[in-house]
Amino acid sequence: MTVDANALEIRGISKSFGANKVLVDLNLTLKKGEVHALMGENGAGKSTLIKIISGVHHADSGAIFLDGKSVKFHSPFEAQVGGVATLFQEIQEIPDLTVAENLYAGIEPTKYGVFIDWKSLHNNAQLQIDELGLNIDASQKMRKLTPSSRKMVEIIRAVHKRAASVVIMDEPTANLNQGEIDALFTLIDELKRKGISIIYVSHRIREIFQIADRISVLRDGCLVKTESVGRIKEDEIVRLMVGRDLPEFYPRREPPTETVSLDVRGLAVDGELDDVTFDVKSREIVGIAGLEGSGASSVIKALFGLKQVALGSVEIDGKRLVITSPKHSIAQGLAYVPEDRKADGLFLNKTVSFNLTASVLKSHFSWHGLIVRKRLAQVASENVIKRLGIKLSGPFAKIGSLSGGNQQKSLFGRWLIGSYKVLLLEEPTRGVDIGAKLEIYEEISSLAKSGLPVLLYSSELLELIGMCDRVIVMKNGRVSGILSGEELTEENILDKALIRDNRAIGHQAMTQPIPSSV
Amino acid sequence: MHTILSNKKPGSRVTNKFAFAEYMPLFVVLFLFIVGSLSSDRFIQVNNILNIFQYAAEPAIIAIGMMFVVLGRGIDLSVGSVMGIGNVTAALLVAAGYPVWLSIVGAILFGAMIGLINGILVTRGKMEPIIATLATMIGARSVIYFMTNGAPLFEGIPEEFKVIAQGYIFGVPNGVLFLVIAFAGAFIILGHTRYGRHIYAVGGSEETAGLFGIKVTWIKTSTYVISGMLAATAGVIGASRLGIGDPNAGVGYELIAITMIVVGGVRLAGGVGTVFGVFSGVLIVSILTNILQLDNVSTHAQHIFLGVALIGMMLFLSWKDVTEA
Repeated sequence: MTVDANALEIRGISKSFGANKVLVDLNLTLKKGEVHALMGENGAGKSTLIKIISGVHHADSGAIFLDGKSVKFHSPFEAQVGGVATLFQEIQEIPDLTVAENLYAGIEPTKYGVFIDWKSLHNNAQLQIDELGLNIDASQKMRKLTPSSRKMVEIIRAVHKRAASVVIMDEPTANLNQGEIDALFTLIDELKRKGISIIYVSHRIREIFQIADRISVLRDGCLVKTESVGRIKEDEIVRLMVGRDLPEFYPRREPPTETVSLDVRGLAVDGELDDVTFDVKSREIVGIAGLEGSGASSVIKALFGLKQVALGSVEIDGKRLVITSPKHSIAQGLAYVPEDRKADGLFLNKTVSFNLTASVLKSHFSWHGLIVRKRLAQVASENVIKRLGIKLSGPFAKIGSLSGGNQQKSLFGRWLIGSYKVLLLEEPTRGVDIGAKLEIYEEISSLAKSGLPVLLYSSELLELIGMCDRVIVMKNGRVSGILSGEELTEENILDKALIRDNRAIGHQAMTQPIPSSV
Repeated sequence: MHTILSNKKPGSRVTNKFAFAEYMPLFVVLFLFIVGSLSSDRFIQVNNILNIFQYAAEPAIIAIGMMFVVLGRGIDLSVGSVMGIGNVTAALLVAAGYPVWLSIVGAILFGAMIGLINGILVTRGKMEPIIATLATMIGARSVIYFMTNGAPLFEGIPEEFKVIAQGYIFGVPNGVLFLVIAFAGAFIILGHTRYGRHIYAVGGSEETAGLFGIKVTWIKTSTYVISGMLAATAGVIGASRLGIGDPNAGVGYELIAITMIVVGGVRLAGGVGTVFGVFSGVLIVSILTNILQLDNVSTHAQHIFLGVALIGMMLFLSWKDVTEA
């Protein structure tokens, strides 16, 4: 095994989506038989890099060399055949076929060249599963397995079935328990011995120090540093991942009152959230931060009634919130701006007016809930359009024809008509330009000033730091810390969000057994 | 000692638990047999049973083609019209004096061609299957009227063509034989060839199937071609059975075929369904129709019962999905 040979070399890769530069002149080398960890904040460019290597996206410029040969894959399958297997976060499977069939799909053994050799297919599949010590029945349908078992099947398929020389794993342990993580690491060790190289993307520092040989840190689409695991410390990684200045454009904030408006106790959603407890005072903006899979994006959805809440109590101004459906939540005073505005928030082929008043037509602009009073609705929406400065191409412009910023403002404006008790925001400035961003920030700020408690989920740390009085950091579905004032820095948020060894907690924790489920 | 001997390695075999849901269609068939015997003494006679199978042959062959398409997450509304195409094409060709085998091949190729058009519209044209095949359904029926001027073709159809569907082998009507061959073929192809399993894979998840290296476009297109060929074959059998070329042959058969496969447990969203299930579905619909005919229920009222059977099966399936999830 030649350790120094490069299995994969990435030279000067750049990629933009529209005006947004995601990767800038990125260089990365992957040695033969090494596990190379890729780290970075959300949006640092990790996913895009993986997608370019595996043929999902195409780089604007730059080249990729596999075993010294320049390659350009047009699809993940082409990449697989070429020797690069990718395990995306989403499990690639056909749920209604058996485990064995999923393992061998496309490369089934046959008898007489025509009929599938079921016996050898099942036996081989079972053998490969048994070799890894996994308790999976190869003749079981995929959909009957636990998520972790499904992930393991996918891993076996990707690395065993095709002769991969490079395997990319994007958060492979996200749904695995400790036993399965051990099985995965055994598998990875075996692959290393065979000279297969692995790109390992994870937020879990503990795992990375356990399994990786080298670590590369990405920030804003650039490679910041590549270093051997032995020569880098945890806090240096965190420092490398952040390190930007806070721009000056966030509105000045007034201190919140001491009255608790939104009180969340022990909120739990199966498999996503566990014992989430926090409060939001009136006039306060509280942020929710967390890396992918931490449950941060589920908190607001759970409150609004988009998730099945298993446990917990929520009070608004001392009154218990009954979470059943979004409709019911709106009736109880919750205003919600969803993450995916195109899918969840807007009627794209309707006018701005329609969109602004859709949710309150019955309660505010109708005659006994039966006949819509169009004129009133029109006046109200015109006021909102003026207040938010939404730019229309005409009075009957469809909302789908507006820019992202104006769409987002409209989504916002919906909650200015009518009265609400809590404002829930998810990624309120995603995909909007800087000007619209500022206006949205101003609006959030003035809504908070008017007494409304605001809960803000964002994957942009700077936005959270700039806007929020306090930030709740989520990890593994739980609140891992609440930061405010001087403590509210990118380093501290990441520090609380990253999953690391128990050692970090203190020496006493060392004697405790490592929890079996992550 | 006994327990040790019978102790199998855990997790190495298919679970032996009796899957009630899987055998549901079979229970319905048995139930209908009982109902049939009770309601009419003519029901359980050998001739009547053979009759059921013989008349089931044409819709069953169409249903099998439909099953291929639906398993690949499509739907084929054109089968009824393609059946008509097969019917009149064969009749016109034999009446014009072409050899019987050539006429049949010609009719089936015509069906295959329409299937290919469906497949290309869906895969290359990225059309919704229901719209693409609705268009060919309308178009193909119009072609039939052009071919026949809208009139049935009675004359010049030779005996050796009629004997195909009217004949008997060992006292069993040929129609029954066609039914058995069609199901056996479907069972082998869908259950035991790579091609068949890949149809399930494509229907289960196109994206993943593509990632696994399965040629999604080719698989999907081919299911429409198979459906077209089978529908045309059913048309040929119909022309032979009645000895006429009927421009209205196959009208409404797309709905019968869909009813049959859905009652047989094929999921319209693709990827789920067994040949055994479809066989049961065909029997359920055919036996139900037969019972109603024996009891002199009018054709108009018969459809009410079919509708009820369909709804009952759908309710059962959604209940099953809920309890399994």
